Amino acid sequence: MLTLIMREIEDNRVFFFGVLLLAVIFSVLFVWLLYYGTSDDGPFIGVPVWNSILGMFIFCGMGAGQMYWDRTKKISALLATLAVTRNQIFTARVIAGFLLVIIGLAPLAGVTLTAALTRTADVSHSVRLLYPAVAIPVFLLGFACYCIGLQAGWTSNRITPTLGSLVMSIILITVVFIKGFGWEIYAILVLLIAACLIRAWRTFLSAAL
Amino acid sequence: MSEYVIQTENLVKYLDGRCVLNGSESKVPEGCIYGLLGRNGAGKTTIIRILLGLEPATRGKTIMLGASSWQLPVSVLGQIGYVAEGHNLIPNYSVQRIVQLYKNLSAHWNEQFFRQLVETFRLPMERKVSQLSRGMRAQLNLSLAMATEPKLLILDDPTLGLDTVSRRQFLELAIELISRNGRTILFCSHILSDVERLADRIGILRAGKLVVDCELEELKKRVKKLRVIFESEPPKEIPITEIITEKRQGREVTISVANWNDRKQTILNTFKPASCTDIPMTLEEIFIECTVSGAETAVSYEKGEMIC
Repeated sequence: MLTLIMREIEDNRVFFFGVLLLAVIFSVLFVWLLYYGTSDDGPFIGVPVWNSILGMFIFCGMGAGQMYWDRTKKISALLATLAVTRNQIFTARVIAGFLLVIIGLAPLAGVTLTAALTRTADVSHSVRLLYPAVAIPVFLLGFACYCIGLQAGWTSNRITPTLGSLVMSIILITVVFIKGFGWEIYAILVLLIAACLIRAWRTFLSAAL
Repeated sequence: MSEYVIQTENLVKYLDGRCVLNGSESKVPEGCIYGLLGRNGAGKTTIIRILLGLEPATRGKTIMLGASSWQLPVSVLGQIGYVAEGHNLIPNYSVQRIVQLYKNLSAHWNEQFFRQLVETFRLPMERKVSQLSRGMRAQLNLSLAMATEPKLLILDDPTLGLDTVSRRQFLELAIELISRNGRTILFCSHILSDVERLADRIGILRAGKLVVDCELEELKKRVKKLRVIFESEPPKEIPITEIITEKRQGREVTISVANWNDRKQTILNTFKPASCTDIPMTLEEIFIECTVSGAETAVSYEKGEMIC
């Protein structure tokens, strides 16, 4: 299983580097706001928002790319003839996607934790609360975008996965931004993730490789 | 586990509304080298893909090493080696990376044997798969499949793209593998001299149906080609069943007959031919007789009946 996960990460390293870069930019901005921020920092707060939106597209792209390249390069057709089942291939793929989303949040988590533990900054109660309040929906939204890509990517047509997953992600992000974070949105995202994963899994299991 | 390594029962496959396999039935005994033959589009690759679980069957049952093909467990997959038609290796991977992938994901790996194969074929480990020639890809694919020490080796046109020397090397390697006890090989090839040299059992697919499934020697005995010369005008119809092809030229009639036996010889003798010569047939000739469009019938030795 570890070999399969490592293979997925190595094949999609571009997405991992992209997400890591965005996460670092996000964290630097967060640190700046944490230590030197004032109430007039409105425009700077917009940067992490765009950063997050770009991140969502990366998550979506990774899911679509994994399935699309698998189909065109017949990767699973090769792997499935070794001592590996389709279930294992799919599980490794999803774990790699999960790790990508986690990596996107990890630098920010590190920064918040360090600030909170060392108390080097004026970490007010609201700032400390901000992280979990942001992290959970960002994680769910990121993973949902990844799952949309995964679901839309299983085709040999290059346009369908790109446009399909992009449109779906834009709709999803818009809904979340309009509706705001809350338990209703969490529930919708969890259901969407489950639906996309089950559909992608069933398609992958029953398809000709 | 049954004595058969591969079994297919009433295998039917439709692809894009076209019937590719039409009730194919076959059994491959353990330790046998089975040559699966057929013209382009006859369904050879489809059967192999269904057996490996890469393609779902429309209907029917396929069993490999005692397990259903569609749900082969890791323990069974680990005993199978496969060389795909067109040598399907991930093109953007380096040879080294593909080798590492095989090493990590195979149930068995014989490093010494693999190194020996790499040296024999002079494979460049640092190059990308896409930079290899078709022949080199074939050699790499074959080396990888053989290094996993499979109990069942499936080769789908493995010598396609190989030059004469490499093809000979492959055959020698295959013979070496065969000499290791208990190995079963299923292979497809259009080079029938290779099949004749290696196989001890033959299956011929025609229009999605297995029309021949018997041992090579039996097949050669069963399918007869006779040149019959009559003293006068030959009879308009020779009442022998299972005639595959018939050619007439003056007093001479050349017939290919399936399931030849003494009864058929007696029927032929009643016409008192001036001479009756047995023309020895190679596998290639038998294959052509069984698969050309003019041949309306073919032999099924196992069932002892004609399939039209």
